[in-house]
Amino acid sequence: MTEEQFVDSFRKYQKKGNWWCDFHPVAKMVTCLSLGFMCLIVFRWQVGLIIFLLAGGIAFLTPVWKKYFKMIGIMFLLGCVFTVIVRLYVHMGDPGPVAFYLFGKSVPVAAIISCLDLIFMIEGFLGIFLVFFMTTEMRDLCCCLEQLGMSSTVTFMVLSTFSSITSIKEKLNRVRESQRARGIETEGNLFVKVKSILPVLFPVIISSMTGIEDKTLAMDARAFAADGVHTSLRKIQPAKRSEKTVAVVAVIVSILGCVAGKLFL
Amino acid sequence: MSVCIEFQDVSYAYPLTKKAAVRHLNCKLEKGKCYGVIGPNASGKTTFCNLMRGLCPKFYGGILKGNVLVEGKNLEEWEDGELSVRIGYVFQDPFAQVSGIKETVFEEIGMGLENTGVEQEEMIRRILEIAKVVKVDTLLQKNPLALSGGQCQRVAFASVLALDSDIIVIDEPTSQLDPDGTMDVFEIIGALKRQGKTVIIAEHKVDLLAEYCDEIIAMAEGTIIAQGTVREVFQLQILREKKVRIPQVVTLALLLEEKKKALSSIPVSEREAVAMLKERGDI
Amino acid sequence: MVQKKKKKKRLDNMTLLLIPLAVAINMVAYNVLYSTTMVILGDSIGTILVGAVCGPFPGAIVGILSNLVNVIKNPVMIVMMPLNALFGIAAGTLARRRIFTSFWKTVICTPIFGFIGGWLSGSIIFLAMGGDFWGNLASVVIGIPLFRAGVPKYFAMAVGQLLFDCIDKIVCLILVFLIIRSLPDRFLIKLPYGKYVTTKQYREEDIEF
Repeated sequence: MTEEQFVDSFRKYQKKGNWWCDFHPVAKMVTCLSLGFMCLIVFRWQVGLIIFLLAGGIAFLTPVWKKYFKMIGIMFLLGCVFTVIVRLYVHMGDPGPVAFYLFGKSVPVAAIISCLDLIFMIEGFLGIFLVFFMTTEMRDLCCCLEQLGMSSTVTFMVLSTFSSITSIKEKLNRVRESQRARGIETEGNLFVKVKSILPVLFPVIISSMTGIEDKTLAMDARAFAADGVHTSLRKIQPAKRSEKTVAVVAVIVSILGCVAGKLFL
Repeated sequence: MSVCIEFQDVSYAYPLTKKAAVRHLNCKLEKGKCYGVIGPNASGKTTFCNLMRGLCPKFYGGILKGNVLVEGKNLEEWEDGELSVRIGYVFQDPFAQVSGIKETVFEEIGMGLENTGVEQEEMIRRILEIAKVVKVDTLLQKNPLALSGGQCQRVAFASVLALDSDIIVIDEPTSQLDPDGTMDVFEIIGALKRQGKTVIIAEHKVDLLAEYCDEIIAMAEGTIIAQGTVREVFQLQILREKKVRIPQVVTLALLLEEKKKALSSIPVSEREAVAMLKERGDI
Repeated sequence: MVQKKKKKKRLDNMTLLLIPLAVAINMVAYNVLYSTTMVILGDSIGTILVGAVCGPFPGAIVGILSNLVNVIKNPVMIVMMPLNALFGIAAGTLARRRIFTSFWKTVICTPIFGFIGGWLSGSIIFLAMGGDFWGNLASVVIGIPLFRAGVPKYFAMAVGQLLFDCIDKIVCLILVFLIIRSLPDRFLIKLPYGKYVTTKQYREEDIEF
C-alpha cells in the first residue's frame, strides 16, 4: 500500500470485506455472548448442537474457517473425550435402561445422554465464542466500547494484555536460548525439565516487571494520565439497524430459550 | 528571555536511600534555549531531568525540599496530564518507549494525540508533519515492535513531539544507539532548536553537546558546579577537578595553552579548532 | 476559601501496566509449569503477585482479565471468574499483614488459596457439570476412588480438588515470595502495597541532605 492509500484508509471506516468480520463488534459480542450463555445455562445437547452448527456455519462463511475447525477439533479431543471417558466410568453399572456393555458392565442410556449434553454444551459455547474472537480485532471492540462509555484505562489494559502475552512468550524463548548457551539443559527427561523451570521463568518475570518502570514513563510522556475525552485514529462504522436487530433478537431468543429449555427439555 | 523552569534551593532524596541524590540546586532555564546537562555517572543528571518533569517525587516517591517552578507555577499545582503535555520526555531505552498496543508507527505517533482528544483530521496532519521532521515517514506502515533501536528512538521523539510541547527533556537518548542513530537524534534536536523549543538534554557525548547547545549545566556529586555558555563552562578548571568530561578540542586547546602555544580563543567544535589552526598557519 | 479540586481516584500508571503483564505471567507460567509437571498449574502466580504488591483491587482485576483470556480457549472457565478475582483479593489482604516478608508466613497461607482454588472452584465446576465428575487429574486420582469407597460425590470431588490445588498453590506462593524478594526495593516502593513487602524501612531524619 502506498503511504497515501495507507493514510487515506484511516479517513474511511475500517472494513475487511466479509459480512461477519465487518459486523459491528459490540452487536456481534452481544449476539455471541447471549447464544453462548443460553448453551451454558440450558445444558442440553439439543440446544448445544444448534448453537454449534450455527457457529460452524458462520465460521464457514469467513476467511478464518480453517483455523476455526482446527481449533474446535483440538478442543474436542483434549477436553471432551477425556471428560466423556471419566463420566462413562463413573456411571458404569448404574441402574436404568442400558445403552451398551463395556468391560462387562452396563452403560446406561442416561450416561450417554449426560455425555452428549456435556460435549455439545462445550462445543456450542466454545464454537460461538471462537467465531467471535477469531473474527473481531480487540482494538476495534475496545474502540467501540470506549465510544459507548467504557473507560480508556480499561481498554488500554485489555489491549496491553494481549500485546504483553505475545512479547513475554518471545522473551521466554530468548531466555531459554540464552540459558541453554550458558549450559543449562532445557530439553530432556522430566527431572531435567523441572530443574530448568526456575532459571528460565525467573529472569523472564523479573526483567519484565522491572521494565514496567520505563514503560510507565513512556505512557506518561504520551499524556496517558490526561483527563477528558479520548479520540481515535481508527473509524469504526456505527452499528446498522439490521445489526442492532440481530443482537436484540439474539438476546430475546436466549432468554426465551433458557426458560423453554429448562421447562421442557 | 523569560524563564520557563526554575529551581529554588532544590534537594531530593530517593526512597530507601540515606543520601540526597541532588542538593541545593539553584538555576533558571530560559525559553527557547538548548541546555546540555553534563557530568560523570551518579552526578544527578537524570534526577535533575526527573525533577523538571515532575516525576520526583510524584512517581519515584522520596523527599523533595525546595521549589521547582514550571512556567511560574509550582510542580505540586500542575495536573499530571497537563504537565505531560507541557513538558515532553524522551529517555534512554528506545524499546521501552514503544507502547506495544499499536500496530503501526502511524498509530503509535498518534497515541498521545488520541489521549488529549485531538480530532482525527488534525491528528493525521500533525503525524505526517512530525514524521517528516524526525524522518520516520518511510516507516509509517511498519510495526513499532519490529524497529531497530535508532528507529524506535526516532518514533519515540515523534510521539512526544506530536503533542507540541514547548519544553522537551531528553535523558541520554543516544546511550543505546550506534553513531548513525546518534547523529539522527542530534539532527532532531537541531530541528527542535530552530522551532524555538526549550530543550534540555542530559548526555555524555560532550562534543556533540558543544555543537548543538546554547548553554551547559555541569553537575557533579549531586550539585550544579557550573552553568553558562558552552565556551565559558568548558574552560573552567572545576570541571577537570570533578572529572567532568569536556570536548576533545577544548582539551587540545588547553594543552596548547599550557605549552605556551595558545589559540586565539578556546574552540568548542572541530570546525572552530580547524579554522583557528588554519588561521595560525599550523595546518 | 479556595476549594480544592476533588481528584478522581484511579489506579496509578505502574499498576495499570503491571496488570496486563501479570496476566501474561499467568499464561507463561501455566505453559511452562503445567506442560512440565502436569500437576502444577501456575496460572495464578501473576494474580497473587499483583495482589501482594499493588493491593486487592488490582489483584482482582488480574484474576478477572486472566479468566477472560482463558475463556477465549475454554469458555466454560467463565464460571471461575469470581474465584480468580478472589485470589487477588486474598493476596492483597494478606500482604497488608506483611505475610510476604517471611517465607514461613507465606507458606502457611497455602490452605487459604487451596480452599479458594480447590474446594470453591471444584464446587462451581461440579454444579456447572450437572453435579458430576469431569475429566481432570484430581477427579481421577482422588475424587473417584473416594466416591467408590463410599464418600458422598460432592465431598469426594472437593477433597480431591483441595489436595491437588494445595500442591499447586504452595508452589505458586513460594515462587511469588522468591520473585518479591528478588525485585529491587526501589522498584517495590513505587507500588501501592510495596511498603508492605519491603524489608527495608527508612525515616526522613536518617537522610543526609
